[in-house]
Amino acid sequence: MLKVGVLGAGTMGSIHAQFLAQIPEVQLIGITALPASEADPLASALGIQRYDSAEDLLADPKIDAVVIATPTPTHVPLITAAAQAGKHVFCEKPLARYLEDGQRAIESCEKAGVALMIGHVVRFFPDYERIKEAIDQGAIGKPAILRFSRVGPFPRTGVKNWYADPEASGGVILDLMLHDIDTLRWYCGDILRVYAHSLTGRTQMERDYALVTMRMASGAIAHLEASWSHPGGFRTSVEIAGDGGLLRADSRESAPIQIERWVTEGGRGGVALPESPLAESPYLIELRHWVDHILHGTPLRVTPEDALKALEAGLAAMQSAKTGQVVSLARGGVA
Amino acid sequence: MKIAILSFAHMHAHSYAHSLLQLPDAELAAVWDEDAERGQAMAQQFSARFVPDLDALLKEEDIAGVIVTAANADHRDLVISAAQAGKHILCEKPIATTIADAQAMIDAADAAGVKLMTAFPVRYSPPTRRVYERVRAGEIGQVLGAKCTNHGSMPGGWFTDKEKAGGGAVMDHTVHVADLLRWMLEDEVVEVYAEIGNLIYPDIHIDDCGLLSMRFASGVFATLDTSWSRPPIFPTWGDVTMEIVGQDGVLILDAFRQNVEVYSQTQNRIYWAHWGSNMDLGMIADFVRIIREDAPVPITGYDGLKAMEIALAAYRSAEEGKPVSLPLT
Repeated sequence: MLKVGVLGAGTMGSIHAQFLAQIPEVQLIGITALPASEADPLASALGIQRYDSAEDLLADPKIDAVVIATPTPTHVPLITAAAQAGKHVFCEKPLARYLEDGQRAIESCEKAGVALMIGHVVRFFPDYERIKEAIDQGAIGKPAILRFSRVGPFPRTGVKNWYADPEASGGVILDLMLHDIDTLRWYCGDILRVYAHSLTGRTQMERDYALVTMRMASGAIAHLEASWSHPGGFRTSVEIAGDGGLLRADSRESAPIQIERWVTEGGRGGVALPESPLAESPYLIELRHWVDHILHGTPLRVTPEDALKALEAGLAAMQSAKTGQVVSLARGGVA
Repeated sequence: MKIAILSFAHMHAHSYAHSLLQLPDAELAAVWDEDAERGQAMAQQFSARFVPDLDALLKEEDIAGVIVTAANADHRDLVISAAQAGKHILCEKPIATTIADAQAMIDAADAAGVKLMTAFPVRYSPPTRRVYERVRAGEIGQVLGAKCTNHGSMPGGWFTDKEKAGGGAVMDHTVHVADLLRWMLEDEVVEVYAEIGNLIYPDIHIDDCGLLSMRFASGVFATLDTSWSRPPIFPTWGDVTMEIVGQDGVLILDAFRQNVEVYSQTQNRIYWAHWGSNMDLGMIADFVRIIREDAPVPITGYDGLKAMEIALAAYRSAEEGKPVSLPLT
């Protein structure tokens, strides 16, 4: 039995708390948030303790492990504090806002001998898993050119609108594209160099948009798009051409349900919403994987080193977009 | 109006010939080809005369215009000869393989007072033109960026011969979308970065993958995937797509999406039967119109040169490993 506390009761904190409550090997102990009162509805709904502060939660000896789902700038201080308190850690991506901080967080967990997993949840999405299997089985030969897209509405739910501050969130590259950067590495290995264009600093952050080129050590070429500039709803797509074939996936094309509703009051048109239900949420599978790792030693599908490498490439893209220059990751990467 | 086709080396010549057959006010009068056997076969297929001697064909006074569909590197000599003979010219894209060749062609046409039009048929695709109109009307506000593709299948033949084609997938597939962006944005590319590789067909020894990033003078950025990444099993030859992000919205174009999916057990194949309008017919009709009306050329030799320059800049960028400024020096 793993006794878990959750730090943060925003969008992701709520999702994680609800799924943790469904894992038989987990006893969900409590939750905290800033302001602390935000955690109240969740704590009472799940019948768990509400802590007044992260310090209180981390100081509770009952708790074996924590899930960190707070704004990015707090990730490293909380990971480090959790490690020092001897708690295993699951932390939302990105691992950190800066590379050295991320390195430091990993080292603190290694030193304390606690597990660390970063929430690169796309590795647990079945469509992305099928793609990985197809590649590994040689269905399309050696990947040559890869295209990833992740487009969605700006996350307005954050405390103090922190996503709109690139210094805090890293904008659309560290929030959205980071998923695909990690997936790209999962499929294709190491990234050699990065070139990027983005709207960061040129428009309001709520409309951030980036188009990034990456060259892989394998020789493959990758194109990544991330956008808060599309008003048409969340969607993702992948296309990979190899020397033996091509595969394509598009979340809108594969959504088995479209709901179209008449909008009666004042509107002419209706709204269409795609839905793709699964028996088990990838977020649940992700958390169970983390729990299995801690309790049974199952190897992590996404290691702290993977999270650090994805962060490095994301930061390189941000730097390239800012300077207009190619950023090479071959020699130690970027700060 | 009598039109001649100079060379069937480029497969688009077939479609242009078909278009001429459909136009009431034009005819395919003569064919010349550096490959006499091919030229004769094509002339027969399209009920035209095969003229083995280029100079003789160009001396025929009733031929008003020529369509040059030779291999890319052969455009220059044919266009200059046709211009000097006083013929109006529609030249297949890319206009040439070097800036010097393209400039010489433009200069020859100017000196002779003939029209030189670059064949960018996608401008005549009705979905593409609608997007152009919407962008120009400001329907998505100020344009900020664009994600584009011009994927294709590996064409083989002279397209993979650097001498004849001037390059592989990047040379073949940069210019259409580069031209569409210049047209829609009324702006010029000032910087190009590219990653290029021979990653899909190791035996062709020329680039089959290309990914360009462009920056326009206004600050708009755009990417373009030029790869020959559609395998032979894919149900169609390729695509032209543009996803244009503006201040007030996004416009998404998949220019050849008007298809019926066919799963043929009897023919043992899956294909997309295109039911969208024939853009080649629109372009050939316009070429005939500008000759007849003595109207300005809608897509000039200069447009051809500027689009090709972006492909050349991409190769230079890949070679130097850094962004390259335009115009090229």
